[in-house]
Amino acid sequence: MEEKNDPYLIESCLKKDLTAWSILIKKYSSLIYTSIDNRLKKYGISASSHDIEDIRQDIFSDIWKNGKLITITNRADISYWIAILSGNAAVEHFRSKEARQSQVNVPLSHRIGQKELDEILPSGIPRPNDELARAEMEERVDAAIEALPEREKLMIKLYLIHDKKYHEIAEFLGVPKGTVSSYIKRAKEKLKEALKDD
Amino acid sequence: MTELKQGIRAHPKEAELAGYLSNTLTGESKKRVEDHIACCNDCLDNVISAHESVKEFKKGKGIAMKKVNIYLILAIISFVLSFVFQHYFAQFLTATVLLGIKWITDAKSTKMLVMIYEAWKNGGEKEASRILNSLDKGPKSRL
Repeated sequence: MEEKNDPYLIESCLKKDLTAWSILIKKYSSLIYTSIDNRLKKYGISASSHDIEDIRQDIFSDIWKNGKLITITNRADISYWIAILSGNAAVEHFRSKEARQSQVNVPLSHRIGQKELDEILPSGIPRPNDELARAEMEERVDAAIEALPEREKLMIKLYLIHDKKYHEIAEFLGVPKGTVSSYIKRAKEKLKEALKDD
Repeated sequence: MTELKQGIRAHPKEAELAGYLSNTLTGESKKRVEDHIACCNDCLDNVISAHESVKEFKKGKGIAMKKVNIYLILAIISFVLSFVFQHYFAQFLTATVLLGIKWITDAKSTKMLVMIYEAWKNGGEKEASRILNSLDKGPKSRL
């Protein structure tokens, strides 16, 4: 029922109705908190409640000040829009903090677990044991993933980096599980081939 | 946002990414977003974490943002004490009122709404925007 009220709520907020703003803030504050937290967790950042509160305030003032509600295309359900906006604001907040910059800009391969890495590295290849060799290998893994065709790349990233199971990827992309399985199998073979030592 | 590699178009707008997640995009626009998130790790991260967050939110598992405010606790304690130590009834009651006011004004959303309302009443929308602008700069100035 609350979902049905969203278009009316947005309409009232656009007219700068303060009661509507108060309802909007109350209704979506927990989603904003969760979205900020989930986005930052992707980079291993655990934000303090003070940081999250700052970001939350930034988001509402941005929505108000820049009249962002007008850009919403699906007024029946604004939760995805709020979550996307919050994720962006969280990253922007930490990118502006120099000390945290390196955490937000980590290379792709840093986020792949050892088990998943073993699935794409050709067997018989010695695992790097010093810093330089590891950095070199990470660079090759990143380049090999980025060189894949779009569909395979998206699925392998969801599988390797975001730890999604085949059925979750299928649900997310709206395709059959079998399709995901064959795309990922093909992508893994391509990665193994690309990462072979010449 | 990180620099985009050659061949990737500019980042889709927030509404476009949200439309992709809520399955309201079709045909070419859906493919455009999908091709973009395949190449842009920032947007993929954002889309995935938004997807997870909304799922949690709709299941009611979102982080409970309501924290028990210390001023509220102190106000309640002070109120109780005003009956226990009746000699100091007026003092404890005054403390209760002051702590109660502090509790209300400490809530960030209340603070924001009060500021917007006052600015709007006094100087119209321009003034409200100015206040929000300074609110916006507030946290960043601490960096």
